[in-house]
Amino acid sequence: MTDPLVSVITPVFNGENFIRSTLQSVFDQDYSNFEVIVIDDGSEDGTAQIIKSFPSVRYHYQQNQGIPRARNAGLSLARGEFVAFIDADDLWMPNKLSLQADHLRKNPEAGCVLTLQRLFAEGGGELPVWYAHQRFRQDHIGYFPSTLMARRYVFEIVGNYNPLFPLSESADWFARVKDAGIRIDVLNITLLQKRIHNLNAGLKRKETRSEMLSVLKQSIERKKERGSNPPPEVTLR
Amino acid sequence: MISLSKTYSVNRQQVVHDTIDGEVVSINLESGNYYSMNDLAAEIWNWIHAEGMHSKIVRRLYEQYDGNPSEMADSLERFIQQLLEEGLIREIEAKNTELAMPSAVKARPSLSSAQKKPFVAPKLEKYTDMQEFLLVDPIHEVDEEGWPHKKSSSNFSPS
Repeated sequence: MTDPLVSVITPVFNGENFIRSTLQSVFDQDYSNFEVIVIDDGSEDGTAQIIKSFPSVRYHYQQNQGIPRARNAGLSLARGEFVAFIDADDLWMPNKLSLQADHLRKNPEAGCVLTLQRLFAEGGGELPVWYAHQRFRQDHIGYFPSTLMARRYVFEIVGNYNPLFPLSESADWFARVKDAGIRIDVLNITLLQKRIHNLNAGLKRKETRSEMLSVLKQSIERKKERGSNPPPEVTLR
Repeated sequence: MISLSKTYSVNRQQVVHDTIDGEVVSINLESGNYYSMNDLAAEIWNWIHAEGMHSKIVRRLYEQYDGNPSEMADSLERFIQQLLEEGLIREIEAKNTELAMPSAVKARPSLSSAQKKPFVAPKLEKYTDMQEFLLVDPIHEVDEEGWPHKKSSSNFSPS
């Protein structure tokens, strides 16, 4: 059986510090049938030169439009049956694509599959205070695009990332997937190392919290429209 | 039985909330549960948020809503008890014990029955389906300035 094509999408803005190691972790995968699409969202540093040193990357430049639109631009170019994302400062374990593609192939009823993630501090330092909580020091489920592999048609069902939620676009998308009753599986193995540093967009607390509340309000409205059917459970494999 | 002298406040240590188009949406960051409150429930929440003295909440309820008084009192107590059990509010020391006493429930010019809104029991709607997500999402404690660390230009900057 032929391995399904996986489209790997990397949005990047001024990512020269880490994009090389990120892309290298993609090309070090033990899965061969993938394409890499990098959406350069208006970088003004050396990002483009680094990306072009990886000849097989499909490079697309656009004026800065924010991360949801950059992810969506990648989706519009994707040709794979499956889609995966990796943000330009994260690192994959070498068997990330193979394990997830294998899982989706063997579980046709699953729309997407996540993995556990491990946080690490830039420069090997200590994680910031709130990450010191026990649940972040342990490897945990990453509800982030960098741990996700999804069937491309899931995006056709629930839609792409919402540009109205530049900080919580991932939460909004996962909520829509759950509300649509699409099964989200989790591989109980750590396949992402997520870099934490001072400019992580998620650290903009006030704006993030405000967006998250709007995301949940929309999800509540969808549930009320749907009736009292319970949302699907996340299942561990 | 909840005493009239009690005072409540939103549990700011672990609760994020906002009123959006009249609906209160709140998240308990410790449990990962989230909640919806509409109509009277939203109004009571905002009373607690503004000034959580139980006696004043009771007074506002009777001033603005028309219904069976004992049913209204029981519903209010059940609702507040739910908010406490879900960790959304907590009981605090009243700053002014005199004001917190039942005797401080002073009569205001009351609306006529026709002007009052009909009483419908407040309802707390609870959702648990995003628990795992909300428990690990970066909406938890962090300074407004973010994490003081060496400057990096690597991360995405939303436009």
